[in-house]
Amino acid sequence: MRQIPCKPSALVVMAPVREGRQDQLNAALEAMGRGRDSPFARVGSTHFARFVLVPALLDGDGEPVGPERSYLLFSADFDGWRWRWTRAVAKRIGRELDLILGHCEGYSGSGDARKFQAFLRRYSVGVGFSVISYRATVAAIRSSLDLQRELREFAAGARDLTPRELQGEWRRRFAA
Amino acid sequence: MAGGERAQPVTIISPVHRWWAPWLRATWPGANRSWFIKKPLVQLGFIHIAHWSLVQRMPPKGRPRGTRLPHPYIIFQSNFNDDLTAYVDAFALVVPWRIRGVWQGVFHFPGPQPVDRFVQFLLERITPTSYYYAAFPEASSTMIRSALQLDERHRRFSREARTLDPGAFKARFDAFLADVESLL
Repeated sequence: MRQIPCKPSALVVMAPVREGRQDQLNAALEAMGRGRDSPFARVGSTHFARFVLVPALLDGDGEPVGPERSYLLFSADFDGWRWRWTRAVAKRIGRELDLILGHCEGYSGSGDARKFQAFLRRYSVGVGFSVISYRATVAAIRSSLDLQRELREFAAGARDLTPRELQGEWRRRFAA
Repeated sequence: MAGGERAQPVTIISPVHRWWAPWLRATWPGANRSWFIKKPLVQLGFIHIAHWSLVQRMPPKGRPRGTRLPHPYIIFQSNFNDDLTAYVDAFALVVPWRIRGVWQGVFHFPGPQPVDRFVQFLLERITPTSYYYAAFPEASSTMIRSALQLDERHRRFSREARTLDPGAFKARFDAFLADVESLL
């Protein structure tokens, strides 16, 4: 696959948790699929995603600031435009997301695209400074990691091949 | 973090003195465009993607304006490799003045050195991540950057190798392998 330089975009959302919902929210987060079973695996442009339940904002001495309340931090890094990713998220994993964000104030579900986008906009925190170590899409990274593994295997097995065999085998595996 | 996984998250939410917020708002746009600032952080090889944000109101955006929080907060989020202490340690040793540029206004900030005190300061302020997804949990940042470079060089090699006879191909292939050995 040809690599297309593409700096991942970011979304950072921080919203207050509805009063008394912290335990339910925790349970919903624990029940969410992990790894390959993660709903985010179904949105192929997602590099990273996280939810952080912030029990309370603290003051300089580490004491909760009043009025004490909890917040949910939701952030993700993904390929392409933010509106395109959030639209894909609403469409493909809206049900799972509703189970989490439904515990936040002002959230009315992913079914209404306009309201969903408005919620994300209202509670989004801008990113001030970022360090991004590579500029490539999820698909390009996956393809490059596959190639790396295949080339490693090929190189290990190629030592005893004649020049003709080497060229033929390389063409078969990599130049098709 | 489950054993064997390489990418992991860290989230640190720190209250800062109100006078520090204008400094961050003024310096971040320039710093964010500067490769000079970012290069040592990338070269550490720990970071996949890291972000620093500033939140001062809740809700942070929209109309009517949200309520002012008692303090501005820096939200630091990183997706990094392996050991957290080593990561923070490297931060303090390699980019101490960059650390000051971001966290100097955090309450009770001890400075990047001595390193142990700085590491302790950050570790105490971590908010545990409730849920985490990484598309390539087994790949370190360095591994991904190597794979992308290898892909590029292999594409170049493929173009050159297309018309070679078997003997010339083998010689070129051996040279290619020697060239990309560190990327495999």
